[in-house]
Amino acid sequence: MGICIRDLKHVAKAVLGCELENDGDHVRYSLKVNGKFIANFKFSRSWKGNYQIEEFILHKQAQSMHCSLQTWKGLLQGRISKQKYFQELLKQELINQAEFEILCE
Amino acid sequence: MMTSRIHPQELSSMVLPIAISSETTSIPFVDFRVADAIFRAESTNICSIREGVLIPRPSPKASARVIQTFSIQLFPSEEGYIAASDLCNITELEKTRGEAVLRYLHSLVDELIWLQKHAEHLSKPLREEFSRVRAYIRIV
Repeated sequence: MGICIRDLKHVAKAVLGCELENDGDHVRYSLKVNGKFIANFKFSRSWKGNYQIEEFILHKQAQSMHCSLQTWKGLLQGRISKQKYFQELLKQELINQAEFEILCE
Repeated sequence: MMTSRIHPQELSSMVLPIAISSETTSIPFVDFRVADAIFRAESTNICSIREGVLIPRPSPKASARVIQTFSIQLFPSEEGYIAASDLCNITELEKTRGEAVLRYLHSLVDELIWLQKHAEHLSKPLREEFSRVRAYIRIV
């Protein structure tokens, strides 16, 4: 089953708590922790709800979000929890233990 | 706006701004070298953006100059072509190669502006991305 923009928006905002920014021709979601931009991704404003995201673009988004494609897709499909994603950020020392615990609440 | 195909050799003698036609649409340019790069992209999946090229960005008004040559890769997809490069993880999907390259260049300028704006608050990977992008393009 494909992954659409609706899934992406839901996970970015409601699951990960990313900040939404209308950045020119694009919609940008940023993961900001303690005032620091940890990761972000953007996509064309013209992409609407049911638009199916190409695998290659998902791969680039996963790189931007500092996780594997497998984790990113799992997160977007609701098969992987946000804890698992934030754990990947913790392992890479992009966030600390205290921030991890707050993000997982 | 011109709609007929123009050969790259002809571009250098034209008065700027100029317009070229891509596979399906006409795209305006203010620097013929960008147009040249687009034409090269029409027959290959790698588009070389050479040092000195001006990337015009009408809205928001912020142009950038290429200070080091880099390549944009084009990947065919069901809906057209995806443009990407090693500079950062942004991608652009458009119907034609030319459109994808142009959109990618604009997006890259926007990315540099965004990174510059938030330079003091970037994580290590984003700081590295900022350094990488500004090694290739500069806002003018």
